[in-house]
Amino acid sequence: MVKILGILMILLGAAGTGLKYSNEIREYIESLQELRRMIEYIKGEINYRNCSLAEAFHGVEKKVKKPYNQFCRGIYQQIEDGTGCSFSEIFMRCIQKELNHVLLKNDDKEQLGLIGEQLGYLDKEMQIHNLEHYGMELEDKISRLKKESKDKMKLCNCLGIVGGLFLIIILL
Amino acid sequence: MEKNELCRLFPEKIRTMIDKLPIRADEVREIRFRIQNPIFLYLDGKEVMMDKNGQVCKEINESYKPTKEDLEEILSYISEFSIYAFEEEIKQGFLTLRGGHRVGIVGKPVIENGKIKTFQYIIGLNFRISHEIKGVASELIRHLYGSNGVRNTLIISPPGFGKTTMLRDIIRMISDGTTYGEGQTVGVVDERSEIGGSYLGIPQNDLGSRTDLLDACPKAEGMILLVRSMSPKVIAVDELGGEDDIKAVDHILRSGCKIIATIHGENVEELSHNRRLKGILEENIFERYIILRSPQSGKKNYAIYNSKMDLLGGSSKW
Repeated sequence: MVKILGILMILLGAAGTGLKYSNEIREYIESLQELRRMIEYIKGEINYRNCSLAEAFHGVEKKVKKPYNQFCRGIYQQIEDGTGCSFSEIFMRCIQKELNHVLLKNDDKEQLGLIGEQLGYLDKEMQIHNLEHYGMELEDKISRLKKESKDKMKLCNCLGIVGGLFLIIILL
Repeated sequence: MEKNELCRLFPEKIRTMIDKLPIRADEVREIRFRIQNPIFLYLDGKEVMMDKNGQVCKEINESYKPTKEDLEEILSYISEFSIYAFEEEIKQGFLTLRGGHRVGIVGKPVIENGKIKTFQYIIGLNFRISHEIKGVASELIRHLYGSNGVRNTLIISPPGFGKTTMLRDIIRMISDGTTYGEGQTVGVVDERSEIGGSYLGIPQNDLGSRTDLLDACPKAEGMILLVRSMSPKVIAVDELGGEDDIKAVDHILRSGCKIIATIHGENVEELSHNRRLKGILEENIFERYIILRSPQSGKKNYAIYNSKMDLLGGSSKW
C-alpha cells in the first residue's frame, strides 16, 4: 500500500513539474502578447489622439493587464511628478520596478528599454515607426515561440511523466 | 508660487542651480536661456545672472552659459519628452506649460511652403512665469459698467506691463459678477493660451464660472464662432491687431456683444496712426481705454479714459 502511494506521489510530482514548465512557456507567450498589446495601444494613442507620452501611458493604463498597467501608471506618475530625470531613466526604472516579476527574459527587458531611449525623439512619424518596428519584432518572436511551444509543451509534459516512471523503476 | 513649483519646470541640472539661487519664486517674471550666454532671470524690476553653483554673479564670465544640449534637454523636458505632440505650438514659437507659464522659442526654423514647420536649431528659450493676480482690476472695474451693461474696453500697453493679467482679472470679475453688475457669460478667444494658460486643454487660471474658453484658436475665427455657438454677452481677446481681427470685432459688435480687448501700444494717439485701427477708433466703438505703464513698487500703474479721452481714474495720467 505504501509502495503504491509512493509510486503515485512520484508520478504526480514528476508530471506536475513537466506541467509547470509547459505552463511557464504559455505564460511567457501570454506576457509577450500583453506587451505587444500595450505597444499597439500606445501607438494608437499617439497616432490618433496626438497624445504626449505621459497621456499615452495614462490612457493605456486601464486597457492592459497587471503588471503592465502598473508599468504604465509608474511612467505617467513619474513624468507628472516632474522628477527632473530623462525619459529613458524613468522608463528603465519602471521596467526594473514594475516588470521585475513578469515572465520576461533579460533580453526582452533590454529590448523594451531601448524603446524608452527612442521614444520622444523627433516627430510623430518617428514615434509610430519606432513602436511599429518594436511591435513587429515582438510579433515575430511570439509567432516563432507559438510554433515551437506546441512541441516544447508536449515534450515537457511527456518528460515529466516519463521521468517519473523512470524514477519509479529505479527505486523499485 | 513656491520655489519648488518654479524648479519643477526645469530638468535636474538647471533645477539644482535655480533651487540654490537666493531669490523668491514669486518675484521671478522671466528666465532667459541663450546658447553660450548667461542665463538671465528677470525679477521685479531687476536682472540677475547665476553661476554654475546657483549663486548670483555680476560678471558675464563668471556666469553659467547653457550649451546646445542644455537647451535641447530643457525643451524635451518641458514638452514631457513629447516634442512631437507640441508641433503646432512650436510652429508658433511658444509652448504653454502646466500652471500657464509660457516658453518662447527662437532658433533656426525649418520652412515648408512658406510657413514654419519646426526648429532645426534652438538657440534661445524664454520662460515667462505666469502670475495670476486676482483683484488687480478691482479698482477700475466700476468704470467698465454702464447703463447697458459692460462697456467696450481696450487695454493698451507696451509688452510686459501686465495687459494679459489685467484682462484675465476683468474676465473673471465680469463672469463671476461684481457689485456693479451681475455675472455675465464671457467668451474668451485665447489664441496663444496666455489668458487661460491651458495645459493639455485644461485652463490653469481662474477665468470665472460663466466663461467659455476657446483655446489656441485664431482670434478672428474664434470670435465669430463664439457668437454663433455660445451666445456670449461679452467677448474677450488678447492682442488685437490683424485686419481680420478688426473685421471680426465689427461683426461681434453688430451682433450685440460687448468686447474687452488688449493691444500693444503706448496710447490712443499712437494707435490712431495705425491704418487698420483708425476706423474703429474714429467710430468711438471703445467706450473705455485702460492704459498700463511699468509697475511701480510692485503696484499696477494705470490710467482709465472714456471715449472722449477724459481721465476717469487711475494711479497716473498720460
